[in-house]
Amino acid sequence: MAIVKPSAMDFSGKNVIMIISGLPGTGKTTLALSAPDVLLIDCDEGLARVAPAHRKDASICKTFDEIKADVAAAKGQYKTIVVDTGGALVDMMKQFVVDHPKEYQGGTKKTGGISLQGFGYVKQLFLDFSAELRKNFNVVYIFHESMSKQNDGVFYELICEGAARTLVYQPADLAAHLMIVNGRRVLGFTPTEEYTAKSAYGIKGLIDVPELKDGDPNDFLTKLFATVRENLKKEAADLAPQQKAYDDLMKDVPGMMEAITSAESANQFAKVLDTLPHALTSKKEIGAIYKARCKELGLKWDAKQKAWVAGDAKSE
Amino acid sequence: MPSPNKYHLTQSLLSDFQRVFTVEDGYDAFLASLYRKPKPMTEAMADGIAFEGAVNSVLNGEYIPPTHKWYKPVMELAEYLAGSQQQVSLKRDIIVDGVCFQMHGILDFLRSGVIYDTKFSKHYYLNKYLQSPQHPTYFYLVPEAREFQYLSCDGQFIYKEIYRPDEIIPIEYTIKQFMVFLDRNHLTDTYTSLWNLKTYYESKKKEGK
Repeated sequence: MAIVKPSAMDFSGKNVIMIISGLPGTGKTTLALSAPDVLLIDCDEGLARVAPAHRKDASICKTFDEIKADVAAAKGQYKTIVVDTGGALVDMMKQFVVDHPKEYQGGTKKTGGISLQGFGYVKQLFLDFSAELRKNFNVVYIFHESMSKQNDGVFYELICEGAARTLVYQPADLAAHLMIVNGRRVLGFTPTEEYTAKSAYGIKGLIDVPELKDGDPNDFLTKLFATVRENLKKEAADLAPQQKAYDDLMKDVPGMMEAITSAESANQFAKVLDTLPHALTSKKEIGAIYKARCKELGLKWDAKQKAWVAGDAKSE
Repeated sequence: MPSPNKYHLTQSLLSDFQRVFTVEDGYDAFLASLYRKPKPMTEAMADGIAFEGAVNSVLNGEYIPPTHKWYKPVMELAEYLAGSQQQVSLKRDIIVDGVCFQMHGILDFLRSGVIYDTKFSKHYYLNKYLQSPQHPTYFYLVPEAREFQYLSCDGQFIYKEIYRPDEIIPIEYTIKQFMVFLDRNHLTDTYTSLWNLKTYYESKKKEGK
């Protein structure tokens, strides 16, 4: 593994994984196609519903094997893979596990169909597939939603096999609920009582999706992903000096602890602790290491003297 | 509430208070916590303790066999948390509406500005800890922290949920609601007598803790 210092980290090539969910007819596929250089993995025949001007290259897949083959062939040619829908992908992964019983032992029930262990395989397949995709592409997973009544309101939930519904969010950097509010198309990145979402890298709250008029470029997600990279770059630059100060200080801590050998040196260190060039949470971390060191030496804290004393010393 | 006394307060008590409004037997469970009755050990609690123990053991250089039921997630977490400080106990005073509380918390792991908390839950869902008072409490205890990560395990997979200080409602708001709730339910005297810092630590001493 190559270790990279925060100051040298480069996020210009960072690939983003995003979930877009919404009710039918909200324009999820058209929005997903606004990502940079898209190949659409169409498991749901969603491309037919996109206006011809905004259509992109598509691969119509019926099995997970077909998807893997098309994704492998897309390397270097596309920047984004859009999976329409994530729910259909999970269904294909279920079938893949059932069709490969030797590879996924115990994945199929004796009575047929996928077993509980099989769902475990599907979850791992989804994580591995997402991680593999991220190496070369941005990824947009489209999910349909269902609406259910909850307390006095409603709740929108991804349409996806129950066991995998939670896990699909795990690799995603961003998850947004696409809705139409007073005629405006809006993406919700911050979770509410009505829907689940995931915000990150400064992308949060409600963001308007502009209406596409004839001749308008469909580039909303291209700009959003560029903003993510800019925010990441700025965050890393802001953190770098603090991280360096933290790393420089923490590497000296083992030596500081070795110098504590008695109650006297422990109490001397207490005076030094506040004066160290602290950064991030170094003070609390060194405080915890220091306490552990004192205990290791058999010292005990005398609350009245407000000092460490030898373990066999009587409290005053 | 009378002052200048100081009162012990934990995220756990605030969490039980919040559950009054969301769980059927939440009020009874809150009363048990308020009266400081020991919580009966449930399977979920035992799993949580065992899981965290296994992660700590590996971080401390102990070996767990690949046949261990949580081998994969434990090793994954141990690698992720390497170099962090474990079980960092902290306290900090907070004054809300003129009442002084001493907030107390034990961070599972702390490293480089990030607080990590491991959970074991067989049924995780996204944003499970959104309303939890834990991360607002811990951000108060560690104001220099830049991130709080819940690392929830269902026995097989790790689910990461991240919060940042600028995204949360400060813990003062929850404490205010807690105080109002105590007053309205005539529980203020119970709290101030059982959670007064002096009596709290004296009784802990008697319990040998």
